[in-house]
Amino acid sequence: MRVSAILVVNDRPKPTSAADESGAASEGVLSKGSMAGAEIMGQSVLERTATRLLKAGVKSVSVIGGASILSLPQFRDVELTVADNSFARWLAAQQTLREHATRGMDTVVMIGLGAYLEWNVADTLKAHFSTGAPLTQLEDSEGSLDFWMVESKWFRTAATGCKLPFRYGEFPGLPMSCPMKGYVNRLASAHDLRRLALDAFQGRCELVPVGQQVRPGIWLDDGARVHKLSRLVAPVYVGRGTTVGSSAVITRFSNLERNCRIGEGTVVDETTVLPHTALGNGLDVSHAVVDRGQFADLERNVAFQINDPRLVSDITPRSWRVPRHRTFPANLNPARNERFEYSQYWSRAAGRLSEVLFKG
Amino acid sequence: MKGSKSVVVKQLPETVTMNNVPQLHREIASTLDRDRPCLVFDCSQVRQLDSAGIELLLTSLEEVMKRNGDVKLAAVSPQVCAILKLTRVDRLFEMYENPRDAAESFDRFRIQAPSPTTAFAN
Repeated sequence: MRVSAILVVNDRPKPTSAADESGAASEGVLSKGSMAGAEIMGQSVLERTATRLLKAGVKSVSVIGGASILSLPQFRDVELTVADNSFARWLAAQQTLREHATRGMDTVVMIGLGAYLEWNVADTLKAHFSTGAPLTQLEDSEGSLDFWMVESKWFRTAATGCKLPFRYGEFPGLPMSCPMKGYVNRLASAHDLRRLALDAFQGRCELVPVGQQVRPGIWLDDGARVHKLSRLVAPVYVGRGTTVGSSAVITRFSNLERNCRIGEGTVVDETTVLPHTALGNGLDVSHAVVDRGQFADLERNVAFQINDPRLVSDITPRSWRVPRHRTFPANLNPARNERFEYSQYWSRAAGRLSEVLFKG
Repeated sequence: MKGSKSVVVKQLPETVTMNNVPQLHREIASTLDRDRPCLVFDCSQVRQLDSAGIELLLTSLEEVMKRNGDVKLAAVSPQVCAILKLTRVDRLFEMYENPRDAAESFDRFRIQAPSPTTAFAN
């Protein structure tokens, strides 16, 4: 049984009216892209999902999303496809699903990445197979998740014209529901992002901070620099390459992600600071999510843009090495030499996956 | 004062004010002088804390940090917690439900009893 995966990075829908905008104020943070790309404790949801699949023996993983997916570390056996908008991404997913079928993949796990899910790959596939249905969808107590398992043979024959994402009722009785066993955070808002950080610190999910626990409850990733006159109050995570200035206080349940800069004398309290964000000197940032110039105050439930670099600024590095990828729809049939070579890994993947699925 | 090999637990009295802070300071001086001091203030008896008391906490923190140590608070009552929050000193200390948890936290990470004061409730 050969299994592959397609990860489609969803953008969250923008508010359609003023009422939507005011009611979902704190959801305005990260409106540029999907929360799947947001890093929590050193890794994005996308990266964690890809890693989970690869560790389970799913060797062929395709990722489709906006340009932000190019920041994904280079995995072997992961193909990246850049598509500008949600419509194009699902079209690309449709084509990719056909390609996976052509390559001999029996079952394809298709995930619309927005939520953070912790699931056992083998158990989930077993549940899918036990239904006998060619298309199943995970659901939890709050409803359906953007997580499908599809038999590629069925897709190539009976469902070849269907549009993705799969919708209930397009085929009678499909998709069949599979109960989600495991942690779910739908990452629908900045509140959810904070909740995920809190759950990680409190051990309510499997998410573990990347880096070294230098003192109980204090994690520092590679290259993190903390001034000796600053104060870190556990539990706290300081990401790769982040600097914490003199007399700064980073306190309870705060996570500073990669390449951030915290100014002198600034207090960060129960806050998530997303990558490439600089906070100025002498600030008091509490119960918030900060993403470069975007600031979401979770206590007051407001989100807004800060354009003063003395307060908050974007310090994303200008130079950027773009990994190999294809684009959609500009490159519907990419030249062979642009693709990753999968064939050498398939037989190993099949054997490995068989071990995972049928161990014991 | 009582403690394990390296962690010292100091029980604070009912009132921690300018009247007795100098005495308390003298009592913990030897602990603060150690290399990597690990100090826990047991606040279970504290009912009154004024700015001198706050200063005792801050001075202790300053001293232990110079020697790569730490000071933590245990069994802080709601009233005292409110004073610490008012002065924004609460952010500087890890707080635990009891002195044993606080002492153990020097060796391994434990979830602290006071929940994060998040704006949203789970």
